Amino acid sequence: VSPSSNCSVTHSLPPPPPSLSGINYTHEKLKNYYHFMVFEKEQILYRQEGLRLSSTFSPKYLENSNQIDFFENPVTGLFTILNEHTTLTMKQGDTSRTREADQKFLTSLSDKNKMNPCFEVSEDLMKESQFILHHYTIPVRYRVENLLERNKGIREINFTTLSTKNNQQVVYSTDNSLKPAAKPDVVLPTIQSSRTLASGGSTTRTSTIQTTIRNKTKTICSVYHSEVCDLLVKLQETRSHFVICLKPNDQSLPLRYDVPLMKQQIQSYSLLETCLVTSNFISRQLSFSTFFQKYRVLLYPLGVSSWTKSIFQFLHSTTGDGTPKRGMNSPHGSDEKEEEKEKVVISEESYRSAVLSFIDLIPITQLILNRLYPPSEDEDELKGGGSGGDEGARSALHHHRSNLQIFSNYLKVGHSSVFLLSNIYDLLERLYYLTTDLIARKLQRIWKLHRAQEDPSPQRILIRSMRYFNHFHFLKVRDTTLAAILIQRKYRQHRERSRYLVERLSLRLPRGMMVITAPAAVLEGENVLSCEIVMRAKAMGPQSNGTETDTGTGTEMIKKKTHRSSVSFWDTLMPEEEKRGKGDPETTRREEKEDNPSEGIKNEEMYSLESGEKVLEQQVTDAHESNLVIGSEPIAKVSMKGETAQPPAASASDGDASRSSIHDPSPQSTLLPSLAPQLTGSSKEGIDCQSHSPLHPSPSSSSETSLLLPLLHGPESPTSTQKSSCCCSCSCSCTIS
Amino acid sequence: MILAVPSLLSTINNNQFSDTAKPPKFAAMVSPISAEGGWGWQNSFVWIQSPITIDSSDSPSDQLWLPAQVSELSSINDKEEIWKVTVTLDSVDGMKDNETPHAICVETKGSYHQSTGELELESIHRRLGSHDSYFHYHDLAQLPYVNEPELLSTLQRHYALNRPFLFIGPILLSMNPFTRVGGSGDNDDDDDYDDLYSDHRLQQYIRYGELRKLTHLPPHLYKIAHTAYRHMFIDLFDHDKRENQTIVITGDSGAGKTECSKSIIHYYCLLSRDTQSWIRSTSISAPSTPTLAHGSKKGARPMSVRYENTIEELILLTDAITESFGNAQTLHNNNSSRFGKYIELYYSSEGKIEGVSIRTYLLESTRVTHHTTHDRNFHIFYQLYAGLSSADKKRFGFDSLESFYYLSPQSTIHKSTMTSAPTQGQSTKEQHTAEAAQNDLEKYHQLMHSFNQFNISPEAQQEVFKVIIGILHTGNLSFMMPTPTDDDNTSGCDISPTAECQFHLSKTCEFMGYTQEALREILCYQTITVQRVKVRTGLSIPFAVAMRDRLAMTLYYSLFKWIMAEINLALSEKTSTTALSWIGILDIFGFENIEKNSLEQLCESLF
Repeated sequence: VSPSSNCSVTHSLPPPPPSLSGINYTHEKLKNYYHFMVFEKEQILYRQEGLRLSSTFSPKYLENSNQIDFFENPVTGLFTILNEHTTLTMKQGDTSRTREADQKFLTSLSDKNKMNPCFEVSEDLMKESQFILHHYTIPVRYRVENLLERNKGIREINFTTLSTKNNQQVVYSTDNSLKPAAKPDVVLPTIQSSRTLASGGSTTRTSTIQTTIRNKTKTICSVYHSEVCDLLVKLQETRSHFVICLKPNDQSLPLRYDVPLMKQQIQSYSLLETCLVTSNFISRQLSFSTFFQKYRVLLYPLGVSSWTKSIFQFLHSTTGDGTPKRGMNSPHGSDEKEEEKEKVVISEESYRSAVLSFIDLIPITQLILNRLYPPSEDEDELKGGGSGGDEGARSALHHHRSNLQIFSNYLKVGHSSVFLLSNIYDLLERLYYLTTDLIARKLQRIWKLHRAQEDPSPQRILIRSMRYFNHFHFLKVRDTTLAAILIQRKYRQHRERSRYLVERLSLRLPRGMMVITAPAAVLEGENVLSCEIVMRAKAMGPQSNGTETDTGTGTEMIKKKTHRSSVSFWDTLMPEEEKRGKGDPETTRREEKEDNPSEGIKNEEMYSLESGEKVLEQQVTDAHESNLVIGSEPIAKVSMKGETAQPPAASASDGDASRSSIHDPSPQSTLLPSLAPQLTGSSKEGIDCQSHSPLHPSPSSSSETSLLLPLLHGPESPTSTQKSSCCCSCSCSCTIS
Repeated sequence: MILAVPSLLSTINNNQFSDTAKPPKFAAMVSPISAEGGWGWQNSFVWIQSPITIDSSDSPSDQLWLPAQVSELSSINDKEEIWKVTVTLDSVDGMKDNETPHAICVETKGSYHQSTGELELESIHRRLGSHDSYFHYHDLAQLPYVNEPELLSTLQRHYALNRPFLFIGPILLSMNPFTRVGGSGDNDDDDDYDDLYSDHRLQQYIRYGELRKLTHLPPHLYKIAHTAYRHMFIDLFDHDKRENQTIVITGDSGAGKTECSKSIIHYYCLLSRDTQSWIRSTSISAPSTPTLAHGSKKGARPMSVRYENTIEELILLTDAITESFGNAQTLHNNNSSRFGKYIELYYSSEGKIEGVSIRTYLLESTRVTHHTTHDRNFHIFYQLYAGLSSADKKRFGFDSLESFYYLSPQSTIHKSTMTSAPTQGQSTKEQHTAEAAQNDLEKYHQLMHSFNQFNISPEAQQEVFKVIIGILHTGNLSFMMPTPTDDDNTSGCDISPTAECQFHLSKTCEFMGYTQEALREILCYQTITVQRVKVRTGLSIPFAVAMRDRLAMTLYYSLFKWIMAEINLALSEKTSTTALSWIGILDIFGFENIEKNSLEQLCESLF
């Protein structure tokens, strides 16, 4: 008998494709899962939250529960009946009457599933031993011929890797445990034993893999059933994201779009209904407090008075007295916890009412923002990285612009939280970005003004800035404080996030993001001190002892005596032009100049004022301590190591600057509070160094209060550290007074 | 102005899915959203077909649907359901007032279902006009009017511009472009792809994703991948609080699911890579551009080794193995997965990939013994033939593909790689055969490379090949009824004693490690326990053949499982125990239910 004649033989007895029985069932199950995830889960949530169900939620006619039921109903399901009949024939063990058994199976199946609309069987079909099952896409004919026989299961064969010292062999052993009674038990051990003998008994191999299902009762369909169920259980434990692949044509040709085919796919994946439902999809769920805390900034463009009024109103209604306690929180990090405690006191319910009144105001905000930010401008911003598909975002934005009512439609307030539908979140985020940007720009201007002050007196700075405020009529001091606090909080979150990104993900942040300075390096003899900061204790407040003239002269003197590379504190406060005029090639300056054009960064300089202040206070106290410790000789100035060490240090700082500008052209740093103890150490060491240095005779005046604090300048600590500390101290000086 | 409407639309004629008894539904639909917010004819929309095609060069008759307002509808004759519909075209962009009338009247035949809001018209006249304001939507859920023609036309517009991705809310649609994305499609030698899958694009998504600015980017597989990645970290500040994610990739067969999953995994690998090293994009060369194509994929994706023996590299290498053993060429798909795959990427607290496991589901093992005319068996058989040396082939008795029954049932073996182009002559077919062989050879080398990477020794590889070829030999066993003068348990058949068959028998036994008697015992006899007495009876020829096929399937299935287990073992060696969460990528095989021609075959073979 040749293979070609085999062909005809097999045709009369088509080989069993057991997995194909799983295909349709799998797809029905997956479809069901999709259906649940997309349609029903949302409905349940809506009901729980007491939201109004939109009329588009009508997915009933899409369900395929009938088909699922047809397969896996414990009484009338196909799997059950099939297994019953299979075990029956297995007991009989007669191969000759398979056709009868098949017929019997079909009749019982049709008897029990008469009521199922997806099941169809007729006289003609019965004759041909077929039935039709209407799947969610198309009706499919099934032949039951030899169904029971095939269902008996295939024998599992174990592939076991056994490795002797010489070779590695794949050993197959037919496992008879799965096998129904159709096969003689005698045969299989002979195969197994012969092979085991051949492989030699010495199995030193570590890995032995066995994939055996040792359940005698399992038939093929039950195996598949359990496999699919396992899969779905696994899916249900996770959060699912769906990718639906569509096939535009059958011919695998590019750019050919077969309309009927696509239509058929749209129907079978129920994309239309998905569209309708997902337009009401809840994409975010925010608690009232979170929502309000975050988005109350959006009311800012409404005007300062109404903005503060609404916040005060809110605080008044919740805390009982008119003063915004929480607004004036102290900048220390430890107080944040207290603040959070206070948050708990405010009930979610009051937040809810706040949110409700707040939502009504957002559209006006949007209008104002649209005027402030004309569409062309922010669309340019949108065009990040030359992505090709911004038209969509743009048109969506236009779409939203034209629909101011969208907020009431897409922002739903439920029992427990605020729900943001579809992409309203994006819009809110965008608004949020614009608003904070607006506020930040204004703060930025104030900050610039601060920097522009030549007069070191903090009081005068404040007066001038207040003049500035009044001149421009856009902020009052209190509003500034509130805004600053708000932004500081935002900044802190931002910093947390960046720190998370840096530490956890070790991510390199592109331009525009802050980079947290790496933890300051431990001081070592060689790469210390390329710069120093002159701090005037007088300016710092209570620690000051001397008079202003004294400090002034002291500073003058020190400036002359120290290296060109030393950066005094007030230097950094001077206007850019002046510094350039000095011709100081210090890398920090260069960096600062580089940084100046980018505005957003300076906001963040501003933000860091709280922590900076603290650090500076610590610096001062530390310096005092060190001063006291050294004691006998009143060293007022801590200088750097020596001129010989200068060029390498400078080059190192150069390298630093270039490196940091490669990595991130706009380094922005925050002073971590942990820097302070190291500063103490550094100052001590600096003092030691100074005692060895022949170039710098120590100033003799005991009443001298100006201190030179060396800052770390190892390769690990970018030069931006000192810069930010400078601006921190500057800003803190104004906030203190 | 009343126009007589002569003919049905071409698409309707082509619409084979609608029942011919009913008038086709597709001609016009009333949008559920009317301008006044309620049901009814007044000011509701009708979608009429526009004669303007998107791409005049390539898409022949695919036409757009235009929304038009129904201003009047009156029934002319109730019995015959003839309707007069006055349609006002919406003032769409590019329409000139003086050229086209805004209102047309259509006399048509059809019925209106109040319940579904569908207007079933037999025909409707079309008006000119271009309409592209809906083109820019990346999210179909944002469409102002959602209905089927609009979905179709939006998808079509995007597809015509090589933008295969669209969102529906959180669900990503991906259309198979059947070409290397962005390129001109036919150029094989260029690296001048559009940046849909380029390194730059990938980095962009990574960067924007980390900045949480993903909304600024157009829909992409990378986007949904990164969304899943981000969702994994529920709490930014509590890194141990995680949620497991799954990306479920569904779709018809040939819709590009496997390529989608590959792209997603590639993205994850690079993302994980990125989080590991600060210096990126300088050391990593441009990734081998994955293609979404099945149809015109000629060259294989170069498996350039970019990562030095890392888990990411291994993940990417698994593709070659699983595709060889689990994929086959089907009628509409050159590289169709015939099994379900669930890949789990385990993530550490730092957000790096710490381990992988691959689960496989539901291998279509019947393909080993039986495949239809336009299909092929699993790739591995052809790849082995292409890759083995002639000495090995001789040793294995693997002389030609045609001589094996499992590789050539009911069909020519090397059907053209490009499916179903009826105009292809014989020469192109041969050319494609050569191309397929070349392709197989490349894949073979990839497979070997992957095997080596997965610590599958050459000896084990030889054993695997032996099993594969042994399966083929098993398929060539044929049976005959013995002469009736045999002993008592006669009714069974026997393996035919022809020289050819005996050759295959010996080869089978040699490769499988069976004794000939044992094999014969399995194939030709069965033992039935009748009242606790075991009776050994012979099998008739059809049953013996079925038994032979079952044996082959079982062998292949077990081999597949074994290889998967080996892969998982090799991967698990790299897996650390600190994994906190996982992202699963489920790539279930497609449902080939739209093959009109093979429906009968499908019915036959199902169950």
